[in-house]
Parts: sequence; structure tokens; C-alpha cells
Amino acid sequence: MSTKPKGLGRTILQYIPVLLIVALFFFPLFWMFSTSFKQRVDWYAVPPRILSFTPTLQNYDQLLSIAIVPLQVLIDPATGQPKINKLTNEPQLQRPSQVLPSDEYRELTRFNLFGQWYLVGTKSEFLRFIFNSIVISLATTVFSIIMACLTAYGFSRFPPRRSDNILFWILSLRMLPPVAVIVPYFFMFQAFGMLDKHLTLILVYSVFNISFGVWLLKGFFDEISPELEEAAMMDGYGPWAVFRKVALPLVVPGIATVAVFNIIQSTNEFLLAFVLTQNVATTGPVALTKFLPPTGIDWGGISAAATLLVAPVVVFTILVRNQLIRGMSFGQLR
Amino acid sequence: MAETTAPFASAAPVPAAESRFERQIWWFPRILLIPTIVYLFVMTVFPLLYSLFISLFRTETGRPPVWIGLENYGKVLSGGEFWYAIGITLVLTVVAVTLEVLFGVGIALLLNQRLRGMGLFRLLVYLPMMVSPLVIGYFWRYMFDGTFGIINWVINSTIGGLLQLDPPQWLIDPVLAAIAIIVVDVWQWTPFVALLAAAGLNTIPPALYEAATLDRASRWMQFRRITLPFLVTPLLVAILFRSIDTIKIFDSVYILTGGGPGDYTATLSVLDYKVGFTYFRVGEAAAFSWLIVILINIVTTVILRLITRSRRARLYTA
Amino acid sequence: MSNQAKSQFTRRNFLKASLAAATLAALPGTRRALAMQRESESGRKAARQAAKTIKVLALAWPSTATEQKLADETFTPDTGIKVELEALDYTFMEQRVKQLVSGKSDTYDIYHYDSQWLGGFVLGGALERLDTPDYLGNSKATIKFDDFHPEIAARLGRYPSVETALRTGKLDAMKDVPIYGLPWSLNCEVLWYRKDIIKNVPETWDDLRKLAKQVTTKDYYGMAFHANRAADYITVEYLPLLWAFGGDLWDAEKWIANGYINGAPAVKALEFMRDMWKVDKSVDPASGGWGFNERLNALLQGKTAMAQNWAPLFGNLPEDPKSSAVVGKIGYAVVPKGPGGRAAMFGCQGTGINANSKNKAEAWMYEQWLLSKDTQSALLKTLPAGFISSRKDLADEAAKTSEWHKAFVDSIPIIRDMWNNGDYAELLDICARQLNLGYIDKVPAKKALDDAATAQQVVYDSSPENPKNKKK
Repeated sequence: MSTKPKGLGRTILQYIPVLLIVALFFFPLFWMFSTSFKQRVDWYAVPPRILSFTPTLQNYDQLLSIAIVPLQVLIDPATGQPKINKLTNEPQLQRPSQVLPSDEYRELTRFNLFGQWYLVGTKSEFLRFIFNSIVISLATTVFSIIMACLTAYGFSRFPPRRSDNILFWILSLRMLPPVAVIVPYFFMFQAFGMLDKHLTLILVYSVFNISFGVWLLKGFFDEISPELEEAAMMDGYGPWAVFRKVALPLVVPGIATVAVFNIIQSTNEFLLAFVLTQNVATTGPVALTKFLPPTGIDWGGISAAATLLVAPVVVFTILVRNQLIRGMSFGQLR
Repeated sequence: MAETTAPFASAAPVPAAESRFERQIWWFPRILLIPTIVYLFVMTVFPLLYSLFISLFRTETGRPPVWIGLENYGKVLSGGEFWYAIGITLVLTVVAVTLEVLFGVGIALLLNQRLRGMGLFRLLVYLPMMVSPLVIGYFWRYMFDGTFGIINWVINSTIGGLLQLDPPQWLIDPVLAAIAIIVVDVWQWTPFVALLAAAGLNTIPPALYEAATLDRASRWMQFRRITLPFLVTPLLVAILFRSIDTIKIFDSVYILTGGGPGDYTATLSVLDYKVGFTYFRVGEAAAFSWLIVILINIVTTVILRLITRSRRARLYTA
Repeated sequence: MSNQAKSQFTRRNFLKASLAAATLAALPGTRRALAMQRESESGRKAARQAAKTIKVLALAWPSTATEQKLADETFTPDTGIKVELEALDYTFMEQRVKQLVSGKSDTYDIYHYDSQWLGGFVLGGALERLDTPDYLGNSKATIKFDDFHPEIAARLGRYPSVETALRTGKLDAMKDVPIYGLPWSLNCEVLWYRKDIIKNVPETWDDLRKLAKQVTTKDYYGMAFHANRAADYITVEYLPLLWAFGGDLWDAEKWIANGYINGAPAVKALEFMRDMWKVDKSVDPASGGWGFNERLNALLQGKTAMAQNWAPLFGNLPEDPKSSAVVGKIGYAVVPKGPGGRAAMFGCQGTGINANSKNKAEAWMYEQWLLSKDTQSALLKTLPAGFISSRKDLADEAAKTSEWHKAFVDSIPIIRDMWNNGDYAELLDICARQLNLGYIDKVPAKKALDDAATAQQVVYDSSPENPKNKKK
């Protein structure tokens, strides 16, 4: 802000509080991140070992290892003929434990390519859960932003009668504590046979995301001066074109903000995901509960899993950071 | 609330539209608003009606539900735990949100300087709100543990050792447990407030500061007269959302203390969960949920009034 | 438009396009993958004709992984039925289970349930009755209810329980009670102690208290409790003491709390625990917030010389150098006794068939396989599985498997359990809350327990299973 040249001392003085704050906020996450590289003996060490431990990749290996192996037909050593499965009269294939690299691998799925069966084994199903989280949060974010943009613009430019009431009602949807809705949603989706499906979570999350988006984006749309739009109309643009070409580009920072928050909330939501999914559409946070066996919380595993779960969110934020920070404004310069 | 005049406001829907343009004006607003409203209505009407319906019954395992009218509501309202839960929840909310606002503004100001590496610093500070509250709950619980936690190790190595204090048992003492919950909430969500405040800071025209410096206004005066007014709106929005979210708080409290010790830190959602999912008194839990919603409604209305009043005030002073 | 706006415009376009593309790609891609999966699965299914999959809901015990492996290797190829075990963490398991029961779900075919849940399951109609000609009564059945240790099997399988019969071992009073489940996983709390610090295992709780005080040093405590108010932590720690002093939780015949949960032995037991950290300073004060992890940790990291802990569940851990700092130093013994007797905390789980399942015949085949001598022996021999069999014919083998298996076998005659009726969750929560308040010395012990008695009586009086409510 000031244009005076800065002395070195002054610069250092400016950095200190910043670094302090960053350290304070970042330390617990650093602790979590470093725990993901620790072996079991180091987790509970007293005094706590911040940097003085031997790092290991086994926690990540536990989560990410994947093996694809071909399955051969089992031959009965006595007769030299394939062993037949008594129930189905088909040749028996090798057992997973015979072909998988180690005891820790479990069968995830098998597929047939050109007549040859392949077995996909993973040490953990975690990859599938992260994939679910990413898919679900992207889908609900895209859907919610589209709906929210349209609606926010509508409320901003064409406030219907009693729009304040309707807006308040939309906001109140965000006030619902998840505890209040899990039981009805459970029965409702069970009746439709939609438990444990990706679409279910997408629909449910979108309710909260749209509510948030409408509120935030309406503020942005309100700040656009009507003269811009009137000028466009004067040039012969129809209302839809005005929306697309004039209003929308100006609220891009708002869209980016809403997108980031939607992704964060959808990736990290726990209670609804736990109740409405079981195994197929399970998301990351629910998978994290699998690291809590009574034999002791698997701190290495849970921190590795949490790091992997937050990675897509961070990546997304970095991608849109320019839209977020520069030019994000609640007011428009005329 | 919005003081902008829509360019199309004068174009009232005309049934017999002549030009294609005028026909567009007619269905355009409807296409904007109706899909969302219908979607939200459909997705929420059933759960709300269902929970309202079931709140009028007494449900027990093995027995069919019994109609008892509003007795569940009476039971919840007359139970001491409910009022205590409201008390502790409101205390947590007020303290946490206040701290978040104070720290958030401070951090936004600090991070607004043009220093090298600021982008990275900002990302690191915003990280806490990107991590799942579940994980954060577990890690903080581990850090707060009286024997194995790193916080007590730091305390013992410095102040505690000097003053020969007993290590504080964070999650066992009711007051310390509440403080622990506040610490975790503030840590995770101050970045959120800082983000919104930073946005507000970006809207301030630098010309104002230059003019103020020319007029030899002090830094504090500049802050009070220039910076703060531009921060009021984003901060009020932040307060609105943080208040709603903190009243609803569940994940971190449940993991950190489980509502304990005793039931001293059982916030509204935690208590609701316990009634509904541990005792499985679903009817009573539904009544409880409705009471929570009403409470949040009241709080939100109050805050919204403040926002409206501030916007009108800004109009007059701008 | 300015250059900045233009680049924002194109970047925004790019982002939106890529997002949309990603989602669109993901959806059909996922659908295609699922379709391929379904196709190949249906191909396999067609090939297998009568093939089915049964799903088992289990607790995330170490033995679950071994069970899955054995099922994949032995059960599936021999019968053509695929088995999917799903393990859930204990904290969240209960909520999931209650939902499944109340929703009459048919997702799982078999439930491996904790002993306290039996009442809720039976009342919710979620367990299939097994003492019928379809199952145990069938002439072709390969397992019999008598194959298992009688007290354990009765506690886990027969409902409603008759507490006096279970206590005295005279089970004739229960021989007509319906059977809903069979034993699955057995555990009880035994005394874990450091062989290098403690030379003579304490016989009574008073001995233990004196010993703990003697051996406490700057580096470690003499004893550890897990006294957290959540779940059943403090209750499970407390009950063996309560029973050893001659007390009881309630009058199981008349459903009365007063005089039991707040009787003299009950107060004495709570004050005993409290004074060990408060007065003797032989227990870590942080124990008021400890759960499984922390207590186990204290043992494995050498922070305590003694503690009650589950066996055989955790039994193998001290020997694992990756987790333990005390390899080879942990010994196991039966819990100490008191003036009123000796009792060890029951921690067993049962297994039963979901009454709403569509694959009951296949589920029954699985149960017979699981409880057969071969399978049980295989599980028993896998030490990291922390498993001990409930079959009587494997008792000798069990005792010889390891030190901690032997401790369990020695404890079988004295195992006792808490409530297992439909209201147990609320009773447990009240008990835990009040015990915790008394333990951390926020409330005097007698008052804490008096409050517990009052609150619990309300639950007893309104329970549909209370005999005086049934007569109506």
C-alpha cells in the first residue's frame, strides 16, 4: 500500500507476525501430516517426536497399493485336468491368496479381458472411497452452482412478491442440523431403493449447497450496476443473453468462492454419508472410521487417509485461486 | 434488501406478448426461480413433515408407536438437559464467533500485505477449514490428552515446569473441555472469516488511504473510518454463517468429548443425537430437532435485522 | 472488456468446461464400468447357476479379517456362495445396527452382534429363531447348541435371560428359553501385568491397591483404568470391582435399582477407584478420559504396571515389536477377588441370522461352517486374530495356545455381564455418566450413584419388558 522503499529490518519485522500466525494455524496439520509418515512406535512416544523419527511410507502403501494379476485355471495335480467347481461345473480358478503378492491384499474385483480373467487386489478399499468423494462433490457442486446462479439472478433482478420470505426459507434450509434429517431421509430413500447410491448423496448435499450458493451469489449479483445491463438491452440483447454475457462473467469470483465451499463441505460431510451409504457409495470421511479399531486408533493410517482426502480439495482451491482472491469483491468499482 | 432497480422491473408480464422479446421477458424469471424452488421444496417437504408427524408419537423398541400429541415437546422443554444444552451451545457460539471475528480481521489485515510468498501463506492458513471435522476432532483429542498429548508436553516443558503445576486435564474438567472445543472451532473456522474479511478489504479503493495520508490521518483513524465500514458487510455475513454452523455443531464435539464429562459439554446436536440414536427415542428426538430449528430461526432473524440495518446505514453515509 | 476480464472469462470458461467434462466423463465412465461389472458378474452368475452372496455385518475385531480370508479360501469354493464381511468400528456400529433393525433391513444376512444388543434385536424381530427344525433341530445340522460352553452360549443365544440361572450355572431354568444366536467371539477382561515389575500377582483388590502404590514411580503408574464416560468404558472397568465387593447393578427379577447401584458395595467400589488416583496417586489422573486406546497404550508404552484388559482380543499386541515397547514383559492372570467374590467382565459377541434375510438357507450353511471344529481351530491358531473358540472340544487346545488364552479359559467360570434388555443403552449411559462424575470427583460417590438409581428407575418402570408392565 505504501510506496516507500523498505529497509531489511522493516521487512523482517513484517514477516514475523505473519510467520507466527501461519505456524500456529499450520502446526496441527503439520503434526497430522508428519504422523502419516510415522511408524507405530512413534505415535505415542512421550515426549512427542516432532521430527526425530524414522519416516516410513507404509501408511500410504497400505492405502494405495494396487495389484492386477492374471488368474489361471487350477489343475488337479493328480489327474492333470482342471479342477471343476462342484456347484457350477466350471473350472476353478486360482484362489486369490495364491496369486496376490502378499497376505495384506484383498480382492477388490475381477474382470475378464479377451477371455483371460484378471484379479484386482488392493490393500485397502480406500481408493474407491476417495473416488466416490471426488465424484460426488464435483457433481453436487456443478449442479448446485448452476441452480444457484439462475436463482440468485432471479431474486436479484426479478424479486417476486414476498421474496424476502422465500429467501429466508431457503436460508433456513441451511439451518437444519443434519441430526434432524437423517432419520426421515433414511426411510425416504430406503422406500425408493436409493440407499447406498451416489445420486442420493448428490441430491441431499445439493439442498445445503444451493441454499448457501443462492445467498452468496445474490449479494454478488446485487452489486452489479443495472446500467450495464440496460446498455446491453439497448444493444438488442435478450434477457438470457444479458444474463450469460454481462452478469455471469462479473460474478465469476463469487462462483469460485461458492464452488470452493461446496467442495469442502461435500467432501468432508460425515453424518449423512454414514447413514445413507453402506459400501458402494461410501465417501472418504466414513471410510476414516475404519481406522478406529479397538486395538488402537491407527494414527498413521488415519492421517494418511485424511491427507489423501484433503488433497483434491487443495488442488481445486489452487486451480481457482486467482478467481478467489484477486478481484473478489462485495462492491463494484464504477 | 437489494436497492438496485432491476432493468426489467417496469416490464410487467403482458399476457398477449407481441414481440419475441416481450415473450422472453415473461417466462424468463419463472425459468430462473421455479426449478430451484420446486427442487428444494420436494427434497425437504417430506423430511420436515415426517419428523413433525413422528414427533407426536412415543417410539420404543419392540412396541408400536403411541400417539401422545405434544407431550414430547413438553418433555424436552421441561428437561433440564435441554436448557443446559441451549446454554452451553450459546456460550460456545458467542465466544467462538467473537474470537473468530477478532482473529479473522487481524489475520486478513496481516495477510493483505504485499510480501513474497503470501500466496503460499494464505493457502496454509486456509487449510484448516478444508479438512474433515471428524479427523480434526480426533487429532485435537489426541493433542489435548493429559498424558500423551503434545499440548501438555509444551506446557510442562515451559510454564508448568517453572510453576510446578499439575498438567491440566483438558477433556476431563468441564470448563477446560469447553475451552478445548472453542479452541478447535476457532482454529478451524477463523480462516473462513479471514477469507471473507480479505474479500472486504479488497473492495477498498486505495485512493481513500492516499487521501487520508495526505490529510495526515493516523493509522488508527484510517482503520476506524476507512477499513472498518467496508468490513461490516462481509463480517456480518461471516457472523451469520458461523453462528448457524456453531449452533449446529456436532462432529468435533462428539469426537472430542462425546458430550462429557458427564453431560457438561453436550451441545444441542449432540444431545439430539443421543436421544435419537443411543436411546433410540425417535419421536422425542424429532421434537427436539424442531425446537433446535426454531431456536436457530430466532437467532438468524436477529442477525439478519442487523445486516439490513447496516446496509441502510451504509447507504446514507456512503 | 478489459484484458483482465477477458482472461478471467476464458479461464472461467475453461474451468467450467473441464468441470463439466470431468463430471460428464465420470458419469458415463462410472456407468460403463458398473455395467461391465454387472455383465461380468451376471456372466459369472449364469455360470454358477445357484450362486449367491451372503453379507455379514461384523465388528471390526482382528478375527474378522481372518474370518474373511478363511471364507474366501474354504467356504466359497466348496459351496459356491460368496461371503462379504463388512466390519464397522464399535462407536458407530451400534447406531447402524439400530437403524437396520428398525428398518427391517434385508441388506445383511448375518449379524455378529455384541451381547448387550441381543434384547434390542429380538424385540425388533431381527433375529431368526434357531431352535427349530429348520436349523438346530434339523437332523442334518452339523452343530449343536451343546457343542459350546453352556454359560457362554446361554448368555449369547437365549433370550430373555434368567440372571440367577446364569450366575449359579444351573441352566435348567433356561432350557426352554428360545435361542436366537450362537457364540461368535469370546473375550473377557483379565489382569495384564508387567512380569518384570510384579513378582506376585495380587489375589485381592486390596492387595492390588497396596501393590500399585508400592510400584508407582516417576516413570510409570501402578495401575490404569479407562474411565471415559462414553460407551461402556468406565462401566466395564467398574463392574468387576462392584461384583467383587458383593454388589450388583440391579434386582433382575423385580427391576429395582435402589439399594443396588447405590448400595454400600457400589459406593465402596467407586470410591476405591477414585482414591487410587486421588489419594494413592497410583493411577494416572488423565484416566478419567481414557478409552480402549489410551489404556492399551499405557500398557504397551510402559506407562503402567497393571491394568485390566481384554483377552484374547488384544493379547497378541504386546508381542508385536512394531506396536509395543514391552515385548515379552506382559503376563496375564485372572482378575483379583474381593470380599464378595470374584468376577470378570464378559465381552463376548454372538452370531445370528437376520430374520428379514432372503438367503436364510445359505446363511445357515455359513453359520455351520463358521462354528465347525475345523474353522474354529484355524481361527484359534492364528494368534493375531485374537480369537478363542467357544467349542468345548477345543478347550484344551485353547488353553495351550498362549498365556492369554489360558487366562481366558481360567476366567470362564467367573464371567458376568451387564443388562442385555432393550433399554440397556439408556441404562448404560446413565450409569457411565454418573460413575464418571464420581470418578473424577465432581460429585461425591454416594450422590452420583443415588442419582443414577433415580434415573435408572425411571427407565426400568417404563420398560415394556418389566414383568409388572407385562402383566397388564
